[in-house]
Amino acid sequence: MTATALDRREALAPPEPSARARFVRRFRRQKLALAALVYLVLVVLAAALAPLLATHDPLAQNLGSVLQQPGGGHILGTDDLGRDVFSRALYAGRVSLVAAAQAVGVAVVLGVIPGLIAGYAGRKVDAVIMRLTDALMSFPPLILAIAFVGVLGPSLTNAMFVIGVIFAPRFVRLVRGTVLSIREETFVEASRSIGTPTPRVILRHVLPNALSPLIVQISLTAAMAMLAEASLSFLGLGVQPPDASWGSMIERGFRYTATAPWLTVFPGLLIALTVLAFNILGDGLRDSLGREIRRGS
Amino acid sequence: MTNAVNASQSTSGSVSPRADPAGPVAEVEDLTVDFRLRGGILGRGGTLRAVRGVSLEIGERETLGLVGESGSGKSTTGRAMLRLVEPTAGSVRLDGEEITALGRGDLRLARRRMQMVFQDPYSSLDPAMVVGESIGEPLDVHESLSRSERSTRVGDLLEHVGLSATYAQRYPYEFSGGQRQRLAIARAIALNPRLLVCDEAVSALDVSTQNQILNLLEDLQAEFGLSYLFIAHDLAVVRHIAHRVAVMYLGEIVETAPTDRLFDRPAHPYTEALLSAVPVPNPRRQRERERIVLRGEVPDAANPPSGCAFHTRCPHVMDVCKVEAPPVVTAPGGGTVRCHLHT
Repeated sequence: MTATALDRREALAPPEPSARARFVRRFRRQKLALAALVYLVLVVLAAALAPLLATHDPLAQNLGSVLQQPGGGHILGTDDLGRDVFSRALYAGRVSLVAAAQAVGVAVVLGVIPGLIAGYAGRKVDAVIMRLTDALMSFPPLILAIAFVGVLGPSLTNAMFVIGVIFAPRFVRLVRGTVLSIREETFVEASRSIGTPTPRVILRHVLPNALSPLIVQISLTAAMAMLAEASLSFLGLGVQPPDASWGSMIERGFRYTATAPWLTVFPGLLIALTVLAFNILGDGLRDSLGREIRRGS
Repeated sequence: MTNAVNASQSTSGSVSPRADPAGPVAEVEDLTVDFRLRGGILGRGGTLRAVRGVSLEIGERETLGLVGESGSGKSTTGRAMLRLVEPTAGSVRLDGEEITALGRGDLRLARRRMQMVFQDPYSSLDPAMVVGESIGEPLDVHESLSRSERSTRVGDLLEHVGLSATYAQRYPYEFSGGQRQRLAIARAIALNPRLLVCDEAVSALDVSTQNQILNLLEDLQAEFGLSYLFIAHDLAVVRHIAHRVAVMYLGEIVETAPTDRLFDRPAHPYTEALLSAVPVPNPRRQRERERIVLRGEVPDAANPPSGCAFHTRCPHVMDVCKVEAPPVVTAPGGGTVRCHLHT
């Protein structure tokens, strides 16, 4: 062994971009996902700023000007009670987005924790959790939601809680599967060999490495939750009048499809676009959030 | 040795060599590890005895090489000593303290004193963390340090293994294999352990990098009074670093010896065969020397042969070998051997 080989305090390759910078660069290349993100930000902003953007009181009825066409004093026309569709859609967007967030939140909490435990503990614990998950998955989602809401009473919160519970098994399975492979990584054993307590191993090593697929799944689930909310509200099991969500607006306008199509078309378009945007965003994230372990050398 | 390490010695005030205690640092007696095999739908699977009654000792500042072919149980022995797999039977003592009997909390404390360096430097560091976090994790778990104390310690550790303290904020993928192994070593010595188990610690590296890592390990041993269990299949590497060598075959130690004796005068036929498989860097001598080629495969560990486990492949096999397991006897020239040729 020569002195030169030894003495070299090995220099690193020229500074590489951080993982985050690389993610941003790769994500930017996906124009469609970027457009979806921009659209979603706009929708969220519009919903958040509804009181400022609304041209009319969303609940104010004006029986003198019902079923007005878009244009004139009302950007998107009026409904059968003379309420401004544009203003209602803004406020309904709040309801729809919050409902989707709520369902996703419930699904993540109820899904990630058992998934981590099942994947890391293995054996009997895993078997029990996964059989319960399978049982829950065997119910048709909407039917189960309708049954629950029938028992708990129709309210959006109840409906979305149930939707969250129904979506939780997807997270359990996803997280468990990811954890199963991460658990076998040497860095987990290395951490154990240091004496790191198990909860800390899971939170510090396992969860962060399982995050990428989770983020993708959250995005895709948001789309499904939004559709589920629309379906339930359309059936009258979600948001209760006079409040509106996009789904319930369609339900109300449905009866006037022939005479006043704008009552269904605009909220329908919003649902379709938002769901699509969540899906595209999810795909884009999946493509740019790859884990990189075997680089260098 | 490296200027880097020498230079960094003066910068570290936090770690100091220990006083010499009497007796070996690590003592292993009759260590046995069983793995349960998965059975079919009905009935349970059998058990696979990966380690069968292994006994060994590692002294202060000593490096014990543990060699053997794949599946001989050498990694399992190392991991069972640290209780990364649970021993089925036997005793492991670290500075006289029985490790196998420790409860959860005590075991966690004992982990300060025994650490491991893993084979694959590409998967032994968490890719989601900057390396300073990984190296500092033992400190987080076992010591409550302030932020600045912690980053000083991490910087010291990095310099001790020949890396710059400024690398703490980098991610593992930015480092080469050799650098990563240095990082793994930094993490392992963070708590100033007594025993370091190096499980094929240089096997994944190219030869020039191997030498650097081996020299680093020797320097650290001298500085901190570390004892090593050095698990490897590469005999040249073991010859370089080990003071004594233990040879494993099918879960048993068949021979132990001071390194020179083992390489000059192997006592067990299996050791002989292992040594004859190492190429000699001289073409003429390589051609002329006698090679012992073992017949057959390593027997199934779940169903080991009767008598001496090696008898199915031994060139000197005798009738007694097939029925009676040889006892451990003192080998000529030092060490022990487990073979009927010497009884």
